Amino acid sequence: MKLNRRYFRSIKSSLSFYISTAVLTIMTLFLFYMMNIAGEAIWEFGDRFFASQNLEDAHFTTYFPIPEEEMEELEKEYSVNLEPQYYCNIETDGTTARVFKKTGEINLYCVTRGKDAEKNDEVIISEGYAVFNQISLGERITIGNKTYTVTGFFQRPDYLYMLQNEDDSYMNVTTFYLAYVTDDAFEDMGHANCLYLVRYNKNDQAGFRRKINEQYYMRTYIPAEENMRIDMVKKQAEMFRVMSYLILAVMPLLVVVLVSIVIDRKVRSEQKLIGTLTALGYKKNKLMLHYAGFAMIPGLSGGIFAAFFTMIFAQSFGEVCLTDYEPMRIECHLNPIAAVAGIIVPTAMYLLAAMRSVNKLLKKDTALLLNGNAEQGKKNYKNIMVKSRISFRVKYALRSLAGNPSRTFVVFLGIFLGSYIALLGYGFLDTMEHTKQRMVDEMGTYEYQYVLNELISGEEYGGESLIMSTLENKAGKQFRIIGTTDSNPYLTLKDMNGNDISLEDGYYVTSFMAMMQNIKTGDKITLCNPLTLEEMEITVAGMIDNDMQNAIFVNKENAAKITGIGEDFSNVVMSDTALDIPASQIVRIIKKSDVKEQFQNMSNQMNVMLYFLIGMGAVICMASIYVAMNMLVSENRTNISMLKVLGYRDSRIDRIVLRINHILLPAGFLCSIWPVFASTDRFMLFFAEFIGVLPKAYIAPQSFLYTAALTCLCYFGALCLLRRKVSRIDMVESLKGNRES
Amino acid sequence: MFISLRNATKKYGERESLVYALDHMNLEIGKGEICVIIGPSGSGKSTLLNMLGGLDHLDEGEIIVGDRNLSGYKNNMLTDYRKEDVGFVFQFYNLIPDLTVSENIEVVSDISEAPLDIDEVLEALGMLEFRHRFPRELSGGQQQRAAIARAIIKHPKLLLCDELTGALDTKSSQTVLEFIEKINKLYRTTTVIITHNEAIAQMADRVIYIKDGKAWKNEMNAGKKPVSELAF
Repeated sequence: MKLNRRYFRSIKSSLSFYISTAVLTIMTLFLFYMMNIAGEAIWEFGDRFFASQNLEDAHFTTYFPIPEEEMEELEKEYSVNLEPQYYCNIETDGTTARVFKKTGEINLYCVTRGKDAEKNDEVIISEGYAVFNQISLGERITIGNKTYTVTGFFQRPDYLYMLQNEDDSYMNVTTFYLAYVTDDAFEDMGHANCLYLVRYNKNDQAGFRRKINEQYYMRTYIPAEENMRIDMVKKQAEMFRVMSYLILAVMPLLVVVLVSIVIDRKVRSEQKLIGTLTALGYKKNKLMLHYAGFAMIPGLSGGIFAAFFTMIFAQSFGEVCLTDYEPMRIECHLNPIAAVAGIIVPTAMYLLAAMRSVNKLLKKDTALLLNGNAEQGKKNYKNIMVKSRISFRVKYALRSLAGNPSRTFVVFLGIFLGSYIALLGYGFLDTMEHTKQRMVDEMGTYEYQYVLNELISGEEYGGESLIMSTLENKAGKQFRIIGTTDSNPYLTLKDMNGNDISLEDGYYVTSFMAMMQNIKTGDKITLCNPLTLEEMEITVAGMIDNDMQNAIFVNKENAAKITGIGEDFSNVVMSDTALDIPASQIVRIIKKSDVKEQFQNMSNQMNVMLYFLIGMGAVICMASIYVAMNMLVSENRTNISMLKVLGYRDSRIDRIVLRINHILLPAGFLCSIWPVFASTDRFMLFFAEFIGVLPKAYIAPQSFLYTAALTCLCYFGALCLLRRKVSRIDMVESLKGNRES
Repeated sequence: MFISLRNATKKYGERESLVYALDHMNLEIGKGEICVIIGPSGSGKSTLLNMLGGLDHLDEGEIIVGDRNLSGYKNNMLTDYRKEDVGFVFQFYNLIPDLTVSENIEVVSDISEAPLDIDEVLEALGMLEFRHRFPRELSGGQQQRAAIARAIIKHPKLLLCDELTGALDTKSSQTVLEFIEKINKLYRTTTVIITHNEAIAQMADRVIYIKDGKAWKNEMNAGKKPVSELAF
């Protein structure tokens, strides 16, 4: 069709329209692709690595060792793989090396660089630590009082997220690493700790666990899905997937709507030509196809460029997202089906929008189309403030807004989308910062928490003693039970209304636990001791306003009943100052400032991604406002040229034409606030499981200001770009067009 | 003379496609005159109007309107000239569709230093009762009268009318021209009417015939008639 020669000329004359709509399409698809690819790649890597390295299903410790021959019997009886894991923690100059003895069946390590330790003075170390501390192969390191040559780096499936302690919340590759030496060198290191690794081949976990507890007295039991070192990988993948689907559900949909409206209006602006072509005998199908061709340009180019940029940046983005983990060899690649869908879906949507517009126009009289009056009789809602004495500028703006609802909606949507994304980024940042502060307040006023490996009676070391243990619910989800007294000076337990509670009244769950397990006051819940698997049903007396701990608070008597620890004994001591407790009695010391620092580190890692999100928001905001305002300028060409003829300077014309949508700026921004709160809340709910605390959506006043400023910047930036377009409207050309029409 | 064109030249295109829209044109129009410029399509009428109205620049020669020599004017100076001295009336009215009649006039009065009273002008044009109507709610003749009101509200020194009756029926054309005549008498506004309708020439003080970018005849109209006596 000769008519299609217009394509190239139209692109040339409306280049900014095609660029901005393509940019919008690219941005939204790119954002989705990046998140989705990162999620899928991490998930795939986890699956593959866990399977190839025979990841444990759980690990446990016992009070009595399990003899090797009994292990074989247990394996047969319960169809499990059971293997002891010997290790020792050796501290050297403030750095702890956890040296493992090699296992043969479960949690196999994988040498990722160099070669395994073969001689007694050789060592392989965890890769994350080596990378962070710039340790190279061949370098000598000291563990204890012996020096080893680093021959390789490795990864273990149960240490992809490098937590020194199981209940730490943030990885440590600065002062903690894993190591393997030869078996002989390991024997020379002296006393080794032992834990047992288990893989279940049949589903009789309970029988196996009961047997272990009966015969060897279970000390700790951690299933893989409750082990942050393992579970974080899948949760990270899941987080990216959820984010990508959240983006998919909101962004492309809105952008497709936005671009479709713009295309629809662009087609309608060509009604005279459509009328002329109809008069010349062009059939509906030909015209629909012709305009569909125009509409396909932003869809096709957007989809293709989005796929192209994704292919370039996906791998680096995926790797940046995994800086918290051991260097996983993920392979980020764009799924060809997703790439094709990314091209086809927006293209099809834009195409349909154009065809629908042409179809609608062709239902009108050709005479009306020829005169450009196809919209006649539709704009009565423009007759507002006819007799009002306010300035014509205000009336013009209001009528323009009310009389062009789809155009107004597009500008609103652009502002809304931009501020939504930017505010969402700031919202996440603020929520994490706010949570850090709340964490300090809600955890209590203590500074030190000593977890002991022996039970103590009374207050022999000072501080406040407690009973603390881990329990499970029926689904195997673990949480803490904290047995204390109402007079504990370090804990202020308040209900959801801010009233003091008494633990003498029964079992109180934290608001975090209530949310995670959907528990309400008065509910009956079953508590299960993960060591003995004994169950106990309790009634929830109330809820403690505490989003920072997944715990149930009880008095010491009840805690003793559930945990089996004597009422007069304790295993944890809290204090606001350091206590003089013998090191041999301490399993670990939790300093509140360390917890705060760990949380800060974790949120710092998120910042890169959040600033990326804010930046994307700004680009999307600017592009969509540009698209919408570009449409406004194009549709007002005649008015603009007339104002020029009448002696208006460009700056005055800008004030009349481009200021029309100023009112939408605060409207779009204000409307984005509630959805941002709702989305942040939703996301944090998911994130809570990931980080073990429930951050509540919080946006700091200055973030509103930053977002408002950013949105204004994008808005006025887009207007600035359009000023050139306004100044380039040629009044003579426009009048000529009018004369010829 | 109020308007003088000396050697005015405007070219479009290059080499083989070079066209002289104004080809070293010379003409003069006196102050307060109604001047009708007649010529066939492509003769350079609209280009001449664009030049007189300060909508475009000459390639060569000069245009003097009153005490202004437009030839050396930059865009901003031309904008001021249009704002202060020129009123335009177009064939297709070019009213802003989202504004009522009085608001369309306000668009001009708003930037004028000493505008006339809107209601007075509307009354003079018989449009007072339509002042709150939108252009789409008016007939062609009414729209053109609104456009005339918009053009004269600033009390321009020069009123340029481009085929102002081209889209109107005979009766409406006559009414519109009567108002032009009335305004000319009332305000002594120099009025240039571009048309290809020879009948309109009878109402003029001066008639200029142009062809191929040249004014080949510029003469005073000895037999000037009132609009009411024109035969369309």
